Amino acid sequence: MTRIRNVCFRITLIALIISITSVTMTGCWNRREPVGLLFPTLLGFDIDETGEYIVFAQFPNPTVASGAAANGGGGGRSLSFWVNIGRGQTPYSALKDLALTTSRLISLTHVTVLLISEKLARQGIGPIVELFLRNHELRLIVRTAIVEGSITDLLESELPLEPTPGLGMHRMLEFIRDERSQIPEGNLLEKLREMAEPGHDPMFMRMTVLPAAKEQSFTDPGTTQGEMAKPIVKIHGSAVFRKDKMVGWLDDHESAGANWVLGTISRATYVVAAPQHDCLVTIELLQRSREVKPLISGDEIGVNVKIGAVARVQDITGRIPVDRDDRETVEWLTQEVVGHIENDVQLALSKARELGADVFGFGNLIYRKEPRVWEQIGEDRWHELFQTLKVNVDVEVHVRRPGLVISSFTPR
Amino acid sequence: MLFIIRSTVSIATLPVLTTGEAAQDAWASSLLVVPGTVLIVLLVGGLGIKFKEMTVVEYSAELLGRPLGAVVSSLFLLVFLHFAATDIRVYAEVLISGFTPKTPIPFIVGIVIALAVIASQLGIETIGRMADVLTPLFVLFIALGILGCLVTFDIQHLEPVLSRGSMPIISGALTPTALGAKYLTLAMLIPNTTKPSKALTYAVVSVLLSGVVLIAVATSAVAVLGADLSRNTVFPFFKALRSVRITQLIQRIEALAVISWGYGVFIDVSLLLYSGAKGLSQLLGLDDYRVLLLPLAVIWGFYAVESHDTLLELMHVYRPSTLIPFATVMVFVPYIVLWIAYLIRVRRSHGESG
Repeated sequence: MTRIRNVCFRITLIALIISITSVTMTGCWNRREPVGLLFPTLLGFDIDETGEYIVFAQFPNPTVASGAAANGGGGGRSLSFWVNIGRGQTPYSALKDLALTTSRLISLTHVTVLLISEKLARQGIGPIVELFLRNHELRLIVRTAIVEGSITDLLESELPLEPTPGLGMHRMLEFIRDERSQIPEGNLLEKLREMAEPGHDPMFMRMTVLPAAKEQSFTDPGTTQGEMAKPIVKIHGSAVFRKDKMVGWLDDHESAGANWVLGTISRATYVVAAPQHDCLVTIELLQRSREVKPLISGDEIGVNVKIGAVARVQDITGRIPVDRDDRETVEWLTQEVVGHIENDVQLALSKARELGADVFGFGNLIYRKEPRVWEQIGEDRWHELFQTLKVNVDVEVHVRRPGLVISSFTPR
Repeated sequence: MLFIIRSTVSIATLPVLTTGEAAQDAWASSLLVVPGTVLIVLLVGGLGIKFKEMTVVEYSAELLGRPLGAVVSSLFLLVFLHFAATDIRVYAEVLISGFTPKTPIPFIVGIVIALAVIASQLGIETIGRMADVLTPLFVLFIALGILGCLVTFDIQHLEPVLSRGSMPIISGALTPTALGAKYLTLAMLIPNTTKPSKALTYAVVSVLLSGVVLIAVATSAVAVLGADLSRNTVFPFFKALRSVRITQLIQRIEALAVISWGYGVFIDVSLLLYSGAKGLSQLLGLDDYRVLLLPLAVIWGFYAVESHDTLLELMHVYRPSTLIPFATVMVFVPYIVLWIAYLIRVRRSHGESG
């Protein structure tokens, strides 16, 4: 009898455990079904004259994105994505405004790109950062860029070959860094870390909306999808911030110079003129090393920057005889490339000084390596000191590879 | 068996406590926590192994007499209640702030307590075996989480190293050390262990191992989020894992931390509930502690839900200014009294025999 009771007890217990776990493990308390959710992949923020926040949310259409119903089940063309706009006194209230005009619940868990208008960036992105830090759905790994031009035009036009522009833009922001490293790394968390560090001002990616965006906007009835599709956006250079406010732009060269110092160049291309041969040589560079050290002697504070890179010849527009024993040409090429890099670094430095923003994190370097000196300088005085900071730049380039041929091609 | 203690302590000591004031030197604070906790273990366990067959409730009655012993034991029972309730509540808060904002707190608290009741109903051996099963998973998940952090790990955030003197480091170490008061459960466990004399060694080993986990977790949280951000975050390790994206496919690894945390809380609460029920039954002179489990569970559940209105209030419990007096009055002072009583007794018996 006790045996049977024991068995019964066990069975009841196991059933209880299974039911408890199955109830708790399956997800939401209030039965939010995925079918009833919409997942924006891109959020854009802007601000109008009255100080009201405008949020742009781009929702991909899941059925079109998966290719299941590219042309719409019922015959008509279904949208591959949809942009909804909300307004509010705060970023979150603007997001909640979207709900009034959206057919399903909005889940922010899949937002991968954050775009901020230049206007809002210049007023301060603090409120947006707050939202991203506090909200439990938004994550800090979003790629962030500052938009030069109209976000509406950008979001309402199609990115060629990309069914959902949001995801396409995420890819673009990610891969473009490998190809052309003039732009800074763009994850929001990294930017926030830089903002929170003493003596470091962040750079965000700069995204310029091209005129084609307006022409190709799907709200414009004149355009046909796919026909004569032109690029709608260009990612180049950086937006420089001081605290949470944008203070200016860096162009391609300045931005590249800053990235050399930060050690974040993965691939850079330079065109070197060779007047003696009456041609141009394209050199591709890979950054191999970077070393920044504080230089403190008495009252004088400076930094030593050492940049190491390897180069590869990609093309030559004329004929330069590069020989196995030809040290001279290689030497000359090296010097030219070194000059280009040094020039970019100087451009970056003078622009950064002009904007009063230490994008290189030299102040942070002193804070980390020489905390006593940093205390003497004081955080408030750093930007003043940055104007006259002695910066020694030492660039070392090795032209290692001529490509797959040694000398130029000679037609006879 | 001793794995339990290790998992409970290491998981419960949120780096937020450490990162509170120590900022980038959180690892040093974590290092400092280890000797402090070892002292607590020696304080609690040292007396425990002198009375191998008794729990703290029994030997405090023997050392101090029944009335005073009962007062001291009730203090300890309150400590079990308090720690269990805050642990469940913190876990519930993580789930609610991080994942399911609409789930009512009593629901999560109820589930955790129900599981703990089942486990303690089955006895201490079951809890121990459960801990044996869950500990490898727990360690694996935490390790995977830390491994994931390496993607965005930036050692620069740990600099400048130890630049602000020793005060911030000590201040960061206070709370986690005071949380070591949880080793009070050891006083309830020793009579149940197969080799009571070795219990102390195992307990010290568990402190060292949980120290390693604490250092690793605190370091990765700071290295991912930076000193400033991690200091200001409610659940730093959770936030750090959330901010890691290894590849398009492998992301959202914060689940790892939450799962292992869940394991830890389950063992932790079961053990505390067991200790509380066992202690109370001995105090009341009952034969079996099991009859007390359900009523206690209800009281504890209510305490967990009702004791703190807001998350900020809950965080206040972990401030050194709140926790240190609490641990001192509830654990350290009574234990010192017990030690004194014990030493007097030893001396007296020496006097009598000599």
